[in-house]
Amino acid sequence: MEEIGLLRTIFLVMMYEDNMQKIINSGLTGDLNLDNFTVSIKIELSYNSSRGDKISRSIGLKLDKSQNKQEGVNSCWLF
Amino acid sequence: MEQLHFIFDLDGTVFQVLDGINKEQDLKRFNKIFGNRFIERYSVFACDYRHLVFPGFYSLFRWILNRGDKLYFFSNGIKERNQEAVKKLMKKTFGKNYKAKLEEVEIYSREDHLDTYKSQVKNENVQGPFHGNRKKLLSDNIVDKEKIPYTVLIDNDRSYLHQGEEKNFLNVLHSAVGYYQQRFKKDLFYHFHKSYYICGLINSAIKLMKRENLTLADSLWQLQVKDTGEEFNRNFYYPLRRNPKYYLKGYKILKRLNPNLEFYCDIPETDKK
Repeated sequence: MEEIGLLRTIFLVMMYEDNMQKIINSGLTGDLNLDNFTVSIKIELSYNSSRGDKISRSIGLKLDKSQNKQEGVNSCWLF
Repeated sequence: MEQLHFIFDLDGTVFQVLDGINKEQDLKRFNKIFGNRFIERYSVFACDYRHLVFPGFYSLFRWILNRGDKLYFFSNGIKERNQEAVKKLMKKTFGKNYKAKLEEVEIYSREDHLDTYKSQVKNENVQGPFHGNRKKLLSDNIVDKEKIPYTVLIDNDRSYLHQGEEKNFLNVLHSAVGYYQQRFKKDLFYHFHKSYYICGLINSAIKLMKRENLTLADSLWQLQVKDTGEEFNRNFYYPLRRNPKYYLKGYKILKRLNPNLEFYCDIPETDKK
């Protein structure tokens, strides 16, 4: 169930990004710790804007099942 | 007669990038309205983005170069992207023989702007009525100072105008937001046919220049600002941009170069006389 939830989250995030801009390069790293029921993922995306600028964005997400909350959702633009 | 210098902005002036959430649907819609042949003729790809060129610009560039005048491009995009876009614009304009014409054209990019954040110059010496972070300074940057009276910057964005070069500025309607959207429908004629407007206005300015023995910049100022009777300040929105007369004039000239050109939508009812 946790894995399905994680995959769904990743999928939704990637769908959002895909709709926003053309993804030229994307990388996904993550780790899954079932003992502590915590999941953290980091998605890094970079693409060229229509005026040729290289733009990167990273999104970090941590899910903590034991505390039944979602935290650490960050997104930032790097120009 | 003096050689004239025409400096074109790219985004929102010559073309508009097809991008955003609905780009696939937008492309389908354009195909439905204008047909695939039209879309392919007026598409230029740079940085893997499709840019839709407004009709008439290929003819306008030919008109300028045929007259013996000089053509420049000056865009806030990065150099590689601008070079790719202009190369493809020239290829569309001149076909197989474009390389020789491309050599006649000068391309300026972001690094050629005056960055008011980084520069030591004082804002009151740069900004003029329209505030902007980057300025497209022409004098001794793009053209030599003595050519300034015969130089025009054509841009949809007033904020690039550098103080002291107000007479060298030809403003066209901004179109990057989506000229095809319903809420812009009343202005569609003016957004879509801006190349006709530029041609019509330049042609009138050249005639006035010869008749009154003025410089190009002075005659453009006369038509675009003085004759409107409006005060030139930050609330000046270049009312001539909605005068169909110049669009019709330019259309007649450009149609001689490309008989297939047409008006792709009607003049708004309120502006018909």
